Amino acid sequence: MALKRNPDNENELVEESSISGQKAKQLFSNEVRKPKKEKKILTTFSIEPSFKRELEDLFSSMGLGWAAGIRFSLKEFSKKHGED
Amino acid sequence: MTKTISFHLQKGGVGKTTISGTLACQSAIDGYSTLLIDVDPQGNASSWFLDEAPPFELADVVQGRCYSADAIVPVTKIPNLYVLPTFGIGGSLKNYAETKLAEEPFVLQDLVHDLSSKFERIILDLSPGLGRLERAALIASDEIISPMTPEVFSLDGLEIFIEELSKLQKNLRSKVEHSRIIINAFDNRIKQHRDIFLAASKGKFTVYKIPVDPLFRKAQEAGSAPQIFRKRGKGLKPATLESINTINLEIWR
Repeated sequence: MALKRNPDNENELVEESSISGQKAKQLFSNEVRKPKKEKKILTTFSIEPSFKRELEDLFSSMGLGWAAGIRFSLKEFSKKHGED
Repeated sequence: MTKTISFHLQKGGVGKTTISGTLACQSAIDGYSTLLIDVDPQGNASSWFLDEAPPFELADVVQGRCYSADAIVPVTKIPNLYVLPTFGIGGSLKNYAETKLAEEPFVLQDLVHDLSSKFERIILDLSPGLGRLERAALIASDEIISPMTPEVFSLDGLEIFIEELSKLQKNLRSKVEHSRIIINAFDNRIKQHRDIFLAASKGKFTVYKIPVDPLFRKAQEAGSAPQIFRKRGKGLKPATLESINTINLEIWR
């Protein structure tokens, strides 16, 4: 059976979602600006050199320095005990 | 007080030279002593306004081979307009930018400072990119205005430029302002152009638009100011002239 043209389709407007328009909205919108990196607080604490070496040995297999190791361990500790 | 404006976006073909040249002409036509410094190694602004190569160029000035007054030339067809040129062929600006400029990043800032006592308005025309030369020019300016075309690569370019400029302002302790963009070659019949203009207008920038107008190219070929150029009795479109006047009135305030 022959197809009959549907006159409704002819008047249908295809609203194009322009990629440039979306990109422009994103670029110029202040809301989507990347949040600024949090500033670090400079702090110091004392540690015995022997304990520092111990920590360095402990975390070296994980590719972490002694300070990063402490940070990691504390997060893990709080995660584990927070669930209990 | 002299104001120095750079027109810059690192993307090519957005109308940096056309806009800086046209606004330099408008400023001169309005009676202000205006200097156009050609900081583009290709030297397009220089070949637009000068028929013959003068004895010296910008690179000679910054390398101490001549005084700035020896290199600055008046544009005979446009009273009050002066050009500190760059030779596209045989010039040494590119070589200087790749070698000695690293040791003296504030050289253009010092030059502009010296020239501020001699001119009321200074415009810097830059090449695409964001290398040492462009950075030196940007920190020599009071304001940067970014021309862009209404398409996605210009938007990418603007995004990158905003990011890079914030680093430059921090690293070189520059207070240069960047709060205006000009959407060039705008065609109101194209939805994409309207979308971009609308989105830009809602952001923090003051946005201007310059319509598509083939007369710019023809005026450049003829070495003329687009505002006064006529081809078979036709000049720039009234909408284009209105845009130029609006931008000109606002940027020098």
